[in-house]
Amino acid sequence: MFSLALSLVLNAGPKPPGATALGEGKPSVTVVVDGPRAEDTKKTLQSVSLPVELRLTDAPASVGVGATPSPWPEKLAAARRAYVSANFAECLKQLEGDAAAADLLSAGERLLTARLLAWRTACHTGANQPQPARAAATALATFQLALPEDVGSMTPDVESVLARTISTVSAAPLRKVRVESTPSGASVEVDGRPAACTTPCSVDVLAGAHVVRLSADGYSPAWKLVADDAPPAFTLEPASPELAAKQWRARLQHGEALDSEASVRLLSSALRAPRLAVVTSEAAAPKTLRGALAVDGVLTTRAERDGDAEGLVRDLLVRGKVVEEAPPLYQRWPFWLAVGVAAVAAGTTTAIVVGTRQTVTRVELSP
Amino acid sequence: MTERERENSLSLRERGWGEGARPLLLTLFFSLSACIETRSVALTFGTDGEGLDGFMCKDTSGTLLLSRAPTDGKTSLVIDFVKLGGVPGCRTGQLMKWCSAHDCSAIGGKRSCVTVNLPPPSMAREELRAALLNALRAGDPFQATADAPDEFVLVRVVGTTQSCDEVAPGGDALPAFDKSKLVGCAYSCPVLFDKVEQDVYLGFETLTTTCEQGVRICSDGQLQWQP
Repeated sequence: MFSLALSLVLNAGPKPPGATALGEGKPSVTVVVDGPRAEDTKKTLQSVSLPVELRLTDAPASVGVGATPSPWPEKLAAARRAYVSANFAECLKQLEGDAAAADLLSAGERLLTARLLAWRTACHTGANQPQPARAAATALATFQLALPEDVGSMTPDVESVLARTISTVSAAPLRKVRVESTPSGASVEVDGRPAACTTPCSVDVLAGAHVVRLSADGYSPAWKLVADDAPPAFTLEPASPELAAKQWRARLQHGEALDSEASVRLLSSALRAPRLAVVTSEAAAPKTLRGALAVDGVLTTRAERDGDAEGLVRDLLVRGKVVEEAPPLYQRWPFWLAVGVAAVAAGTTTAIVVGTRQTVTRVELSP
Repeated sequence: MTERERENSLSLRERGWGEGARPLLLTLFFSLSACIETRSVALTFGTDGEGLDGFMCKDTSGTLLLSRAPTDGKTSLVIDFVKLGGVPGCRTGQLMKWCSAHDCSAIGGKRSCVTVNLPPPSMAREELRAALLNALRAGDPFQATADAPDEFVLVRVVGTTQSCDEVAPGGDALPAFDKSKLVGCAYSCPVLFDKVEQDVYLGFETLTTTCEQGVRICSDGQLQWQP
């Protein structure tokens, strides 16, 4: 299982602009080391000689994009107090905000949205504004929100408006909304309800405007208030490293494997590492090292070795085409150069030995 | 073994690969030894001593140079290998012309000398030739050199009443012959001993018996004309 304490990241990502580092010119690679043998593996990888630049860094911390507290519980409480005091103007003032309901739904706050719309219905009714009251009730019904307990604090006529409106809206036939996105495969949420499908897909909704929200790993979520006649098309923007780290950590906390495709992809974004390799092992088989390599966020290869971290990384680099596999000896020009030199040397030596065959001639005066 | 060789040998042993290098060196040595060809070439004056004309020359007074030898005929035969710096023609004129423009000095380390007893000069020319030949053949073949030069050379045999010690090389320098003690001379054509496949003939070109001048030229350090 993933453990922050054991997680190490061998980051071989791009160097900061202007930075000069050892191994200038070598491609850089990232490897996440996790598991019971993380420290040993880290030491091994620190001392290996590879045709790439390896840099160690920690896994992204859990700090990051934090949710700010919503002001709506307080506003709703204030609106309730104003309503009870028959101060409907103050009540409506507390609830004003054209996009408030959509904002809350895009954040998945269906209960708060239901309370907001219910109190708007109540305050407008109390202020003798039947049309805005119906509009708020219609929105509550269209979003298929459950009536909040707050309804028990409202007058019967408010309850009547809500009940009638929900009944009317719910009786209307459903319509299909086609949702597309770039890239595809994003999870679709409608009116803050859990994902109904992944793009491109269609969802059944009641007539009226709806909040459609898309989310995908590695991308910033996006939402739109979709009217009846406007099929939504989304273009998702890449997530910031902080958001990617948050998404990565959320996946791991839900049991995702460290070397899964999604994990590696998110980690690449979180660490700004165009080339990322993950090395991990399990307590049940600590000697078996598993590895995965992602290039530009795409998982390109996996490998497995028994206790040989260097070999594992080499496998990943070669299979992932980060480095070229050394060709066989006979395919290297130095080999043939050496053969040629040896042949020339042998030929020359032979020629010299044969050509300079020494002759000793004894001369005698023998009249 | 020189001191340096001894140091090198010790150095190899100290490096720990002397044992391994020894077989290699032996193999190299035997390989090279197998490539050494040993040959033997004889210097002759011809079958009937026809190359001995240079030992039957007379001076301008008509006296045989051979008469300069003592009564016992004791004469030193000095064998020189004369480097030519090329391959000139064999005729006397060609040689002299070549040597006027080239260094035709005898090779210092190659001079050898043997003492022979030549016959008295008081006999007819052809008898004298036969007697000279017999005298020269009386002894065992004399080794002029164990390793002939690896270039074209001319071989000459100078007869002189000077002792072998007198004409022995002093270092690289060769003492000049005393012209008044010359007895005779013969020489070969330019020859590369390592390639020659016959005996090398020694002779002397002359059209007259008064050929002391030729003997002087033949025995000269540079094979130059001698006044």
